[in-house]
Amino acid sequence: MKPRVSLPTRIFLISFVTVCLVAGAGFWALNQALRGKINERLKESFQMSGKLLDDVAAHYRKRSIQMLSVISENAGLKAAMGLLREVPPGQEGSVQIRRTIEANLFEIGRGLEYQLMLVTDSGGRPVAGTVNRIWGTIPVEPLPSSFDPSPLIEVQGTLYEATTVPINLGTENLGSLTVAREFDIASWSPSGETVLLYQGKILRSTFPASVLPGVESQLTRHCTDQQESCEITVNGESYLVHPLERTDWESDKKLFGFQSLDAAMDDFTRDFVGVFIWIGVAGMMGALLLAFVGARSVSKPITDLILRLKASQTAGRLAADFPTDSAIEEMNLLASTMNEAAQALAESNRQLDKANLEFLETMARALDARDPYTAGHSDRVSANSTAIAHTMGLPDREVEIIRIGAKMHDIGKIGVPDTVLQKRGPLNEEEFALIKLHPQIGKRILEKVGSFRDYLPIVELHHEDYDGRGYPYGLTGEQVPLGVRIVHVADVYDAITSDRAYRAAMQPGQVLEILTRGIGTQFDPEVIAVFLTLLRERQTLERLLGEAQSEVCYEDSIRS
Amino acid sequence: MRRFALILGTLACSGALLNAAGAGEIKGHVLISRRLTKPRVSVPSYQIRGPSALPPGAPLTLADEFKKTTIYLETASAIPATPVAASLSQKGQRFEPGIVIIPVGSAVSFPNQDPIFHNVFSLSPARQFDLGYYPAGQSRELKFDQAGIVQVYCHLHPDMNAVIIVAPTPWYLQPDASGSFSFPSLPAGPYTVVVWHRSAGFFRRSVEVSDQNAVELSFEIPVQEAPDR
Repeated sequence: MKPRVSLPTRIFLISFVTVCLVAGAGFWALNQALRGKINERLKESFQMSGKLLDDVAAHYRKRSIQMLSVISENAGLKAAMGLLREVPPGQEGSVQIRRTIEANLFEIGRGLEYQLMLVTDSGGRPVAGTVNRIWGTIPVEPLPSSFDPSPLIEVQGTLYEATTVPINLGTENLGSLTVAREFDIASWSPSGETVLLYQGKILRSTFPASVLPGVESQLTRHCTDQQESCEITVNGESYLVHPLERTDWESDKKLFGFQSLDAAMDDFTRDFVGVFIWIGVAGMMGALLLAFVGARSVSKPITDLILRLKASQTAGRLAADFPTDSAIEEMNLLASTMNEAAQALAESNRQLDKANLEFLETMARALDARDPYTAGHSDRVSANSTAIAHTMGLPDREVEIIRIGAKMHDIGKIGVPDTVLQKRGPLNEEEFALIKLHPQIGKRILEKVGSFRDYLPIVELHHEDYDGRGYPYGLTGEQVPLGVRIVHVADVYDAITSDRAYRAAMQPGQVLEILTRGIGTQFDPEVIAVFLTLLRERQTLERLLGEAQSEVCYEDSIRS
Repeated sequence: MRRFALILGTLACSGALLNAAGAGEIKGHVLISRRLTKPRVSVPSYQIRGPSALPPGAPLTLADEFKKTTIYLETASAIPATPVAASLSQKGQRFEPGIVIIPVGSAVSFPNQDPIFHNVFSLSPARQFDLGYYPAGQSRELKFDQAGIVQVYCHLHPDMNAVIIVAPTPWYLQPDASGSFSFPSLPAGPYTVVVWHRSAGFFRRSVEVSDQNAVELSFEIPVQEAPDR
């Protein structure tokens, strides 16, 4: 099933997630770049410090040799060692020689910082030695059986950095003197770790013993190059490994400095972590805001449109007033399309109304035409009503309503039987009741069509009298709208000036009398005044004044 | 270790040197073998002090090695020898000569012929002494009553050294330039031939000397090459 997500949420998610991803990728790239830079810096510092340390060591060694060369020019030492040529090791007296040499060494070593002094004979066999302990200087016991005067020696399990000079007597070599200080592996990489590799095996290291096998295998695998740095991982921590150069060492001994990359990164980033966090938070907030605003700006016009459509649905009318001034081109297009549709709809509605109107007019005319006496009645009432309304200065819109409403005012007579409607002679009570129903029947016919609601009062109330004696409700004066009161006057006037099946058209005098008598009772005085003026203006007044007689006007007014 | 015999001299046996008394003879030669491997200790080029100066223009030769070698005989019975008077002078910051061979009971004088103070001392078991410091022109004398090797040094000048070989019998000598040696007119009996080389130390061999024929011996002495400068 497809997940249903609202448009704003969709836009928000897409933009926010994208921004987050881009930001994350940016951070990652930054991190990588930083790591590379730090790696480089570390290498440089390694090279520099390694060279420095090597220089210091070389200098130290040079000084040692200079000093030793002086020290070894010692007649006592030489004399003692010369004895070895008379008394081979192991023979009687050799112990005394050894003690004599040791005594010499004690003397020499006093005040020097060496931890180990060792004398060998010309064959390279150790003959005597002293070693510094916390409690003092003691002879080396037992002496190592052989001795290789390399810069790094191991005596009694301790590793020493050694300097060896020959002891010469003239052209002869009596042996050699070796002085050494303890090899402090930690001093070679003060801020990191150090490993001393001897023939591919770790001899000494500052790492804990548990990780050594891993370090050893990685070193022999990755770090075979003499000059280049490499990277290895110990306990999940990345280390930059750099060979520390020792110019005086044999090639089977290698010193490696380890610097934790992660720690270096931490060092570096500690200062910037606050800034990074702020940038990150601000970036996220910005992304959030941006995504929110973006989602809103896209969805707002659409939502507005939907709300408008909903409102039109409620109102039952589609207004062609969708705003086309939006900043979004597509929204304007949509709105104008909607406007066109609404206009088309309104136009078709107008057409429909017009058709309905024409249909009803036709129906009214047909109704009038059923009876030759009432033919043209609706048209005449409409004409007179319009004239009155116009004269009274009503707005055009109301005049138009009056014109159309007057044409349909008797439409309810469709529901009145012909026998009653066309009866010659007086109507009985029952027949009057039927006649009196026609305003309400007309109203019921017209109220089905919404666009006719303006005409309903004319159809329903055109038989209400000014004094409340009309029907169907007996409303008085102002309770009946002015337009209806106008139509009422015009209706009665046309009824009494027309021939009927039961009588002839009344004489003008009669008509005038009926009209004047109805002022304030049957008719609105104002309307009558205007109407009379109108009639006079039609120059029919004189003729009407000459004759004055009517008794049946009441019934006429009911049946009209 | 590869060895390389350098000795070239061949001993021409000088025929049967028949003695009227019917005495025996020990003769032989000394072979100096030199290890050609580099010395175990190499001296850095920037060493401020090398070995003491060699006599100028005198590269070490095989003959020099023979001059460092002494041969004497030991016997079970004491053979009296006529004491001699020898001298070991201090000259040009060196002991002169480098080797003095004397029979037991001889006296050696140590005249200081340099214009500076010198000292003579020895730690050797055969005769331990210290003659103290004495100025130019003075001399000290010492009698050596015990056979053996006496290495002599000077406290003031560590490179000065000499060896006094006190032979227990009248039979003592140094090999000739070709390394040959010969002890003629020996009474029949057991002998120990002792060869001592300044660097290489002692080499001993027991032989039985009869009246009829000469005993022929050959000693091979391995010598370390002098250190490079």
